[in-house]
Amino acid sequence: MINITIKIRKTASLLSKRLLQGCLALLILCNTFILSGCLHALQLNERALVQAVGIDWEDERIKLTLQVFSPAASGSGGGISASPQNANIIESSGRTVTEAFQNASLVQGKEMFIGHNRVIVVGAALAKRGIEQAIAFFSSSSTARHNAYLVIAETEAKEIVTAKINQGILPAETLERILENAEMSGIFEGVKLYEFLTSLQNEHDSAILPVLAYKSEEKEASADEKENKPSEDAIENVSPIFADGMAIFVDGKMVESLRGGEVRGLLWMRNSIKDTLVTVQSEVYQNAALNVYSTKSHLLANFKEDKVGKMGKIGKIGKEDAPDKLGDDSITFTLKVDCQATLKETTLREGAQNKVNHESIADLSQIACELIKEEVAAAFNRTVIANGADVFNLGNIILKGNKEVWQLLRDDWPNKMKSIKLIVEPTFIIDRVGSELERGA
Amino acid sequence: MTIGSSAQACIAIPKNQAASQYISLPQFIMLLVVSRVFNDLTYVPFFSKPVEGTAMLYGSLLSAVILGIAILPILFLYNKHPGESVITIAWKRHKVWGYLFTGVYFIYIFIYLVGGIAGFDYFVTNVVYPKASVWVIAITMCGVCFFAAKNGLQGLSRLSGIIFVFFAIGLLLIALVSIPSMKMLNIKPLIDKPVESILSYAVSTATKNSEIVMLILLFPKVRTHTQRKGKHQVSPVKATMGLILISLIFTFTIDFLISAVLGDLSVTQTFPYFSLTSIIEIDLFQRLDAVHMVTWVCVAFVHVTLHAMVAIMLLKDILPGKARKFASPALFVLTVIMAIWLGIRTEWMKIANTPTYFVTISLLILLPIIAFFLSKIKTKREGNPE
Repeated sequence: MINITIKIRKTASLLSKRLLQGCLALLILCNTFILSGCLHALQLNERALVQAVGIDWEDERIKLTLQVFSPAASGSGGGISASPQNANIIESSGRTVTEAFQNASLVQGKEMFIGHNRVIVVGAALAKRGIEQAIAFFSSSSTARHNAYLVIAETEAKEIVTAKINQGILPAETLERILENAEMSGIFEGVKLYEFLTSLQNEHDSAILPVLAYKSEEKEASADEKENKPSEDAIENVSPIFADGMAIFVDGKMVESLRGGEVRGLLWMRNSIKDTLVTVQSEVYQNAALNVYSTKSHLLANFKEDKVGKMGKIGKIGKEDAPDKLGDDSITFTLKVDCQATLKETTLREGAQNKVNHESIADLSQIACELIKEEVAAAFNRTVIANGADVFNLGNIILKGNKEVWQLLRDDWPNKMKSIKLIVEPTFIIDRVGSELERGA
Repeated sequence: MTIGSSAQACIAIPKNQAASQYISLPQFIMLLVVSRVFNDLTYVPFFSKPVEGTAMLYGSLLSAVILGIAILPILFLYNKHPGESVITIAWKRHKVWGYLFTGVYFIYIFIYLVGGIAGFDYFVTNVVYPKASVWVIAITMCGVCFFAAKNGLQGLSRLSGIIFVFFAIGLLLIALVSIPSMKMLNIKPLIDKPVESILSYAVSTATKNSEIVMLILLFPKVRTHTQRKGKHQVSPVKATMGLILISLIFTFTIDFLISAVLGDLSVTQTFPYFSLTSIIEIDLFQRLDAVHMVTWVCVAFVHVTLHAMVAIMLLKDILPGKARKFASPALFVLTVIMAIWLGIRTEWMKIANTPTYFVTISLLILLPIIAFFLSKIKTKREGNPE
């Protein structure tokens, strides 16, 4: 009897142990379901894969234009074809971006997934009003790509997002490539969402964003051209979108837009040029194309010891008195630009003889240096002097160079920076001339 | 209660289990470092005082120095009493001291255990599954970790070794990919109360370090094997220096990457390291947050399991004989309830993240000093039997 009782007890103990182990094993199995994403699963056909987002401000509401991936079949193979537009457009509006996204889901009947979003385009009207709140949705969302490009549309974001691009599988992908290529060619600087947010977060920095414009055929074509309209069989333009400059933001609001040489001046100062083409004119050459293949810019702050050295002693001079005592010429910035270039193409002036020699190259280098000085001065005047926008990290450079001086300046920095002097010291070396020494016509 | 039985769960290991309970010094260091890394990866500026990147960098260096100094009494004690822990010494003196010491350490470890589960919950429900219930995550994570805790220290240590290597490779990859996105201008000199902010961050980091307390409690379980001596106790200085230095390398690297890439943006991010990994990219990968997620889940598992294991050990020391078998399930239930509560009431998460200077100083300095005097009294009495 005792043996049976012991046996029963042992069996019960074994069973309870097995039960416990079974429960724990089940719990572990549950965990694998949760951690592998099998909970609240959404099939691919239930998701709308957003590729580009356009945000406009219209009638006191946020208007969203979403470019959603919608592959068109390429015939028998069933793959994705590059010839048709593999995208659909969804439009919605709301008081906030979140509300507009929710409304877009109702229109589409799918859940909007922004994890693959490549570009965020903000309309000019919203940019002038302030975009911080509009992009907050993307910065707080964990699924959103914080490294998506952020751009400003010259007019409406919808124009850019809905533009017909006859290249590649996805219009948004081409849009991203346009931005990357423009950045590589030194036409403008591509800005990612997190870079813009970082600039906004800094108490004295100002932000910049590239501007894209839409080349409307109606806008461009003259009356004669309209009469000689190409036939429907003519090959279409690849893309009606082009880089139109850089927008300057102060306190999250767009205040200015730079174009042409000003943009490159901005890029020289920000050390953002990887490769660019400088076209100059000289006595010999009507045009000479210089391809800058290597460039490096250093922006240095110089402090006048006699004034700033004394000012630097915090505690001896009250903060209130400091801005008056810091002379206008106390801080000077020096920009050193070192370029190495290839002489790519030349067009001679009428009657001029083409000889690629040390003199003509030195002449071109000198002219290129002057051009860089002009471009940098134009950018500096339009941003710092005219708008009090610190897009060159001047405040941070002063802070790193002389902490005490920065403490005197920081409270009135937007005004104080307007009195800063800039010296540009470019070095332009043309050390490659290609494979032909005698050229031009 | 006799000394042997009371200290059994934590220190005096039965002979048949001894082989599976001792771990080597490298295993021990890797285990603690992996557990420590959880705090760096789950750092939420919202729950503590926002600190500039530069203050974080200097602060993490200073915190290593502070810990190095704070641990001196323990090193002294463990050199004097090899193979014993603070708790064993207290039990040997008197059971009241034993209960007191074990109880204090248990409460401390339990708070970190709950904090670990709540931190895991907070990340998962904020980033991975915004629609998931807090309790689902808490129960499953607790279940897995308590089950793993049941399987002993050696298994967890071996796993930590693998995770340590995986994490180090992941961090190296993230660091290399971050290089193009780094801006050294983001690391700025401090102007607003620099000394205060560095000191505050350093003290806060040093005091919110449960792994150093783990080192105190688990050190007697570290053995090294040599042909000449066989298995024997290792130097506590080596273990401490290893933990502090390797943790510092990881913490400093993480802080540096966050500061150099995110700059001022890091202060506004809920999970700065996660933000960093979701931003950086190379041609092959558009984001590296998947690398972070995998290592983070593994690191969280080690952190919670280690705390659960030590908490169970300590609770078993306090409980009377028959009640000991309920220590693990009771602690499981209590942990789940408290973690869910913390997960729902985020204002309490903020309070839970407040540095507890006094508690840490007591555990690191005060109790070891008391233990030292207790051992002295004991030795004197043993030396002069009247």
